[in-house]
Amino acid sequence: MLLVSVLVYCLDRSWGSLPPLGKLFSPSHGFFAHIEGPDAGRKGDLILPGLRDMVTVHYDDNGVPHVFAGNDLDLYYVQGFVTAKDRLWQMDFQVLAAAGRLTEVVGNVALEVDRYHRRLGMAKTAAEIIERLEQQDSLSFAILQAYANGVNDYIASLRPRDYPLEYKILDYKPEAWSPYRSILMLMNMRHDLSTGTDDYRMSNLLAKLGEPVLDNLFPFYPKWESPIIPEGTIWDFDPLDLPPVPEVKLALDSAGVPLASMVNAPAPQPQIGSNNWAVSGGKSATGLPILSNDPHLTLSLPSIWYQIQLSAPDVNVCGVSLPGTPAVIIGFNKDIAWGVTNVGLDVMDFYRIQFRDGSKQEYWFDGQWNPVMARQEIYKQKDGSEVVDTVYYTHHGPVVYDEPNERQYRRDFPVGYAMRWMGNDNKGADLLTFHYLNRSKDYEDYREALTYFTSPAQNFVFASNEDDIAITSNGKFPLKWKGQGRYLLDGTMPEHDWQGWIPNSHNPTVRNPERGFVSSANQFPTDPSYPYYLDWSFAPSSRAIRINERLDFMQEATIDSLNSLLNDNFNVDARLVLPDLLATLAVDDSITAMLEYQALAVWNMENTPEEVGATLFENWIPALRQDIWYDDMEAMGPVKLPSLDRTFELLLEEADSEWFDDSRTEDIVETKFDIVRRSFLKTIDILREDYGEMEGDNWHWAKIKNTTIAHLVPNFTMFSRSGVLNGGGGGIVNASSGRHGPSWRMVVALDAEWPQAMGLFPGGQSGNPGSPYYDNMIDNWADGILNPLVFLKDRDEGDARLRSTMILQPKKK
Amino acid sequence: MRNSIFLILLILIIGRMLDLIGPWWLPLIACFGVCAWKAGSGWRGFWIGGFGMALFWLGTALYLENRDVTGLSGKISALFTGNIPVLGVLPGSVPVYLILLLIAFLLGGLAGLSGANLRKL
Repeated sequence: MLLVSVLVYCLDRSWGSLPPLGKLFSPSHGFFAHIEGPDAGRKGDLILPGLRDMVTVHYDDNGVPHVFAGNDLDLYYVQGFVTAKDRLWQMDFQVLAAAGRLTEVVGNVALEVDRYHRRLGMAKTAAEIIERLEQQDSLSFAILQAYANGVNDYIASLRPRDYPLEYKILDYKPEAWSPYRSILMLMNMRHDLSTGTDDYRMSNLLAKLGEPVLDNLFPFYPKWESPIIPEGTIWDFDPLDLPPVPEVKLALDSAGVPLASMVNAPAPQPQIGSNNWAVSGGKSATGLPILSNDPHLTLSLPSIWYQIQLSAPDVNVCGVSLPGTPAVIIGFNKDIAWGVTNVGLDVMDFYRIQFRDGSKQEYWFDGQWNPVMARQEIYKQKDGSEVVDTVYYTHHGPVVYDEPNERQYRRDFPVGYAMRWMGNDNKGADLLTFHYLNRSKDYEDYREALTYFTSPAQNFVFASNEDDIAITSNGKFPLKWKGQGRYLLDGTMPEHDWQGWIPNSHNPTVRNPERGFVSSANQFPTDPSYPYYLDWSFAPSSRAIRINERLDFMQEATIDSLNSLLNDNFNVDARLVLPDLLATLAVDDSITAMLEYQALAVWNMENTPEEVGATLFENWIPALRQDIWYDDMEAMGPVKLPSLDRTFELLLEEADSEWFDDSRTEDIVETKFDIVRRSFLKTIDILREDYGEMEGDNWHWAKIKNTTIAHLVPNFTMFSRSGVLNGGGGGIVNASSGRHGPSWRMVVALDAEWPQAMGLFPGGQSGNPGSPYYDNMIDNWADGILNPLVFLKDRDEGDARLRSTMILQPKKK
Repeated sequence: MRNSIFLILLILIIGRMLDLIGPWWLPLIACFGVCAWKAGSGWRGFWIGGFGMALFWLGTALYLENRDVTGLSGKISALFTGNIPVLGVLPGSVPVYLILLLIAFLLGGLAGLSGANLRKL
């Protein structure tokens, strides 16, 4: 009997990475219980304690809930309830990640990433935001509380056997939801979309090359660009004065040199970006605008987005929400549609801190010693032990890494610097922007809704059935001197602080431009005529150029023509440089005789799945860029290479440049031809080594690219989808690269009566790997097909695609 | 023999009822109780408890698997064959069912054994 008890105990808990086997394999308690039919948990009557009135939820044949409530608070309550039903584990897990608490569930392996999130200040800022909302913003707080109550009433209805599968494998329990947790979800977005930083790498380069060279290699505006706000748009406001550029523009060491580097940092992945656009009625077949949006993010399962329709007396909106957050984030209602792309301006700066002594209790600023706030962060391990860590805060923000040689999750962050980050701004009420957009009826409502938004700054595209289209680069933008934060800054100098804010009404915006469309693809929001400084670098312009040239030509646009643009695989970079590169190689007969050269020469410059040319080009260009610049910069530690734009300019217009010479070879002066040839041959060598000879489908672009949609727990590869065969690429409008891509595609045709909308995301509505709705949209997504979206006029409107109905009743008083 | 089948059936029925109400190990009480009641020898208790429990888990699993469209049990297999390469040679869901039968048989058998032994005390 003792043996049985011991065995039951052993199988009831996890051992290291081994899950609790008894719990997991018992068919009605473990994973078998997660095998679901399409209607599981999506029909029937329920009594919910938190409701005021009856709420009806119809589920359509894609598992999408259509919620009809009698008031806003019931609406958000049920949004929390139905979202938790499909995504509870994901919401809970992403909150733990944002709060830096992953060690509690996955163990010590997560300590570095947890420390990073805590030291950024994400949990601290979320707590400050919620404290302020609770005291000063009753609407925001009531929405968040209603949503949290819905999630919590769902959690309360669960027995341990009903917990999502991941809890059983990792052996832990869901925690209660709260308004604070919804803010943490938004902090995740701030993190993912606004923590790119080049300051450290740029300072290293500056130390070596000097400012004139840097200004040449890293210009403040690219050669090839097609900005979001059309060139020539008049700024109809009186700009504030820019702060004066100080004499010393960056942090210098005692010898007057910017600083020495210590570690080699990987450059950030530039593939997180997005597209959105709207064409006016003059360009559409219906005479009213059509809008499209596809936010590109790191693709993951359970899916990033959750489709939902939310209807109450003053709102009826449809689109996608972020699990864990109230309201629809990207969507449409009867009158308007909107979407977002990331602005990606520089909102993270680093200030070198001069502590008084090793105790780090005071730091020098503005001619005096100022107190440092020390904050203890405690990390609980899975085994119950704790790790204690101290973070030092100055008025700039936290000193993210303060000890040389400590382990750094972000090695592009300098040590001993305080971080000023827009993500830690605790003012504003981002949520209200979406609450009001959901209810917007026209352009004025849209503009009003945007004023609540702070971070992460987004390009909000808009279209209405009054034939208005507009786009606004929106958020709270620091007022900077030109170039402020291009390099690491000096934390002792007041003139290096952010000097104020650009007024919201001065944010770049355009309504109904003459060209008949608005668009964005993370490129420069404006041309240099904009009176404020936002950043010196934005995403490469290739997607923007392609989108704008196709929209320019487009007439009689339909949902189909906009979807064809979403799936456009044309390689603008290839059009720009490939002819020159091929001509450069053509002088060498041994190269032109190669099959690989010939494949590239006949390539149609489309990144379609079976193209070999795309494989060659996409692998060659990074190698070429590396080969041109790296020799001159590698000795400098973490450096940033000049942009693709600048690299192409060098190739096409500065063929005799000294940058082509490999500074590591002493007796030889390499030319453009040498470097182009060398990188081409090296690319082919590597491809052959990794994938075999160029024959059959070995080198097909989709195979090499291997688009993968990975489960949030990296070890759970069995719940991921890899080898998705699709076209596209990082600089392509169809921005599907290996791990990033369109996380939601939506096209909405506005209409005087009722809009028509299509959309889908690479995954499914359910977070349960045993549900038919877990990844059912991936194949259509890969093929570029959109699903028609069900948008009901009211609760009683029947639709052939509705499958089941859930009636939620309040508790009888 | 007929008696054994009867006891196993009894385990299935009581086990199912207990399974509905309690934690995952509750059906072991059925193995324990039934074998204490009538198994006779300890070894017989082990076999009856083991077969009863294994059949119970297998039956429930197959019933649930029946509606599967996602290949979930094969994916769970992958979770384990990742750690134990030997199991990787087996196709699809087989490793999952082997582990399931092993755990159920061992637990049921030991519960039956202790039940039968209790009776003898």
